[in-house]
Amino acid sequence: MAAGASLTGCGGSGGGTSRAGGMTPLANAYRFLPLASAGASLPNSESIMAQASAEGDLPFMGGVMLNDRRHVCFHATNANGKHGVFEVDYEPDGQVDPIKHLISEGDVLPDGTLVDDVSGGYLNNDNDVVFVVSSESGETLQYSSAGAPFQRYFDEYDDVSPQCRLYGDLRPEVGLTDSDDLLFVCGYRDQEDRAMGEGLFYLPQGNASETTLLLGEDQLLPGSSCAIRTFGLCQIGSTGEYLIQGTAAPVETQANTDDDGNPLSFLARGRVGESPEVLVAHPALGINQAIQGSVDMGPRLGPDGYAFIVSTGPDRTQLYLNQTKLLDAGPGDIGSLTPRGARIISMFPPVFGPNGLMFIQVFTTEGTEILAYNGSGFSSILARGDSVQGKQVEMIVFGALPCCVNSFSELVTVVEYSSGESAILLGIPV
Amino acid sequence: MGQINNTRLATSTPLNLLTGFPIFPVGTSLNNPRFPIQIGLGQPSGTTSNTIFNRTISLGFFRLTGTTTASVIAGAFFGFNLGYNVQGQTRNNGTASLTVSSDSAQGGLGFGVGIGVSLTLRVEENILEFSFRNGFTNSWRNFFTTSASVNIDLIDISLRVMRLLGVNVPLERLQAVRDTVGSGDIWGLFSSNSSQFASRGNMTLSPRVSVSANILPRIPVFGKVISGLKKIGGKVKAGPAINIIFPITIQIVRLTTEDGNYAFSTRSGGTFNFNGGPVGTLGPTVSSVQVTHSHTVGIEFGLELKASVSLWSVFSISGGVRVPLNLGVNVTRPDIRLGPFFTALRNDSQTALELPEVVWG
Repeated sequence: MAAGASLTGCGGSGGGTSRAGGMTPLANAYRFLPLASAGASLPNSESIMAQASAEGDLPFMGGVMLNDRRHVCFHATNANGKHGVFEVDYEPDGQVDPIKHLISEGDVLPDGTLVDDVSGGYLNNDNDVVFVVSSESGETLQYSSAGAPFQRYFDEYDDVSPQCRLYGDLRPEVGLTDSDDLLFVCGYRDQEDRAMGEGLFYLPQGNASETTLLLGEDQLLPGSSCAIRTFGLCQIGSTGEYLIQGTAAPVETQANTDDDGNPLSFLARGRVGESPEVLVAHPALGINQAIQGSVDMGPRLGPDGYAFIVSTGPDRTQLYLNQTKLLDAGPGDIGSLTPRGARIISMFPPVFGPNGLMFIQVFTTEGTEILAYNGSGFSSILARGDSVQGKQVEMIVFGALPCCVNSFSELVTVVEYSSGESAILLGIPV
Repeated sequence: MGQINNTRLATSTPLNLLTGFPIFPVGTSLNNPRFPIQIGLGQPSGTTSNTIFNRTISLGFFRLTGTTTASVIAGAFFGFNLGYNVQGQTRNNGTASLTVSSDSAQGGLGFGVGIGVSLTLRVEENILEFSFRNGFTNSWRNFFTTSASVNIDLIDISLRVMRLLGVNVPLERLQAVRDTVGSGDIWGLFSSNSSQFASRGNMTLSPRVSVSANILPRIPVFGKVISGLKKIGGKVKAGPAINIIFPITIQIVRLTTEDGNYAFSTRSGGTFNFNGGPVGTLGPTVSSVQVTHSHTVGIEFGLELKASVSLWSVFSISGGVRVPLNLGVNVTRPDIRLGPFFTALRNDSQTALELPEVVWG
C-alpha cells in the first residue's frame, strides 16, 4: 500500500474547493507495483538503461499510457542510449506480461521511414496508437492498430483531403479517440498553393480523405477581434468535442506578445461542426468573457468536463475544473495545501479518470504528490517518501499525463526511488 | 498616312533585370508615363528585430524561460522588363494601327532575408530554505542554460528543406544583384512570358512563391539544443512561412508619334487599333514611336517566422512574428490590387546594359 486515501479537501489560501455533494467515492487506497524497472530486459536481448547516463539520458523519459484493455505503452531508453516505445500488458491481479517492442530510434517502418525521433503518442481503448515520427525527410504520422505493423497516415506535406493540404511543421502532439477520430495541428496551403499558416484539423474515424479544417491561422476567435496566430496543445473527446490552446493577436495591433514578450495565449473549447468558445485569454486580447490569464500547459478533456492550468504570473498557476478554480500554486503562502499539508508550488495539468474523477500531480514544499479529486475533495494517492515494495519514492517523474488512467481508475506513473533506481508503477485501487 | 517601320521597343537590348519598369512607379499618369530606369539596385530596407516569444513558466520544481528573437533584412529590387516589335501606320482620319510581335516580359522580385535567430532556454530550480528569522522561503537557482544564436540565409535554408522534400520553389540566387547591393544573399522570384499580346491583348506575369518549413534541424548550431531537448522529451521548432504573390497585368493604352496621341480602341489578333489622333495630312513615315502601357498589380505577401517549444504533452509555448518586406510601396493590406501605373517605351530611348549573371530555375 502506498497511501491511504483521505477525503479531506485541499486547504490553503484561495483553494476554492467545491464541497458539493454527489461525489464519486474514491478508493480507500492504491496498491502500487512495478510494471517495468530500469535495467529490465527488453526483446532482442536488449535492456532498459539501468540509470541516468552522464550524457543526460534517462531510463524512462517521455511518459506512459494505458487503456481499458490493461495495455500499457511507455517510453524508455535502452542500454545503448536509443529511445523507444515499448508495450506491456497486465492482468487485473497485477500479473505482468513480458515487455514488447513497439517502435524505437533506428527502426525502419514499412513505408521506409528510418525513425529518428518518436513523439509522445496516443493510445486508445482499441490498442490503436499514433505517433508523429521524425526522420531525415521530415515528419510523418504513423498509426498502428492493435499490434499491426505501422502504416503511414500522412506526411507533413501530403494533400490529405481537399481541405487539408499539409505544408510542413506537423506538431508532435495529436489527439486520438476510440473511434479513431484524430485531431492534429500542421501548416497547410490553400487550393492556390498559398501557405496559410497553421491549421487545426479533424480526421474522422480514420477516413483521411474527409479531413476537415476546424480552425485556421488568421481566423478570428469567436466573439472577439483577435486573430489566431499559432496553435499549441490540443485534445479531442469521443463525441467530437475538443480543446485547443494557442496564441492570438488583436487585429488592430497585430502583436501576439505583450510588452515583455509573453505570448498572448488563449484556450478554446469547441465541437466539430460548431463554433468554439474562448475559455481563457491573455488580458491583452481583451476577451472579457473569458478567464483572464495565460495557458501554457495542455488542457484536458474528461467525460463530463474539462480542466486546465492558468498562469497568472511567472510563478503562479491555478487549476480550473470547468469554470471553477480548485487549486492555487505559487511561492510563499500563495499555494494551496495538499491533504498531507504540503504547500503547492506548481502543478502539471490534470487527467480525468472514470466517473468524473480527476488526477493531478502537484509539486510542493515537501516534494511531489499525485492527488485525486472526486468533485468534493482531494485525496493524496502517492507522494514522495511513500514506500512501494520496500523502496522509498523520491520523485514522481510523470504523475498524470494524458492516457495514464483507465476506466478502472488504474493509473500508471514513472517514479524514481531514493536508491536512484526508477520504474514504471501501476496503481490499482483497493 | 504615316508608315511605322518594323521597330523593336524594349526596356533594354537584350532584356535584362537591371533595367526595366518599377512595379510601383510613383506619380505616373497617362500623360506622364515612366520610361525604363535602373531597377537592379533596389531599395534595401532596414533591419527589423522581433521577439517571437519570451516566456517564463513554472514546471514542477523548475522554472523554464524560453526566448526566441529574430532579426530580418529584406529588400532588393522589384520590377519587370518588357520588349516587343511594332510596325503599322497612322492615318489622316486620326486612326492608327500597330501590329505587335515577338513580345516578351520578365518580372519579379529580388529580396534577401537574412535572419539572426537567437534561442535561449533557461531552467531554474526551486530551492526551499528555512531560517528561524524568516521561516520557509523559496528561491530560484540556475539549473541549466542553453542557447544558440546564428545568422542564416533564411531563404537558402528553406529552399534546401523544401527541395529535400520534393517541393519545387521557383527562387534562384542572384549573384550579380548581390554584388550590386553589397550585403547578404539576394534571391530572385521571377515569372516570364511571351507572345501574349497577340493572343490575349495583354501580358500577365505571375511571380509567386510559398514556403513553409521547420528549418532548425538543418542548422548545425541548433543541433545541440535539439538533441538536448530530445533527451528529456522536448521539441523545438522554428521556421518561416512565406507567401509572395503578385500578378502583373500589362496593357497597351496609347500610341504617340511626332504628330500626336492615339488612344487604344480595339484589337484584332496582334493588331492594335487606335483612334483620336490628329486629323490631317501626315508625312509618309513616322520617325518617333512611343507606346504607353498601363499595368496593375495584385499583391499578396507575407513573411512570418514561427517558433515553438513543447515538452511531452504538458506544455507548449509558441509564437510568431510577421515581417514587413520593403517593396518600395506602403502596402498595409494583404491581397489587394494596385494601379493602374503607366509606363512607356519609345524607339529612341533604349539603354543597352550589361546582362547580369542570373541563374534561371
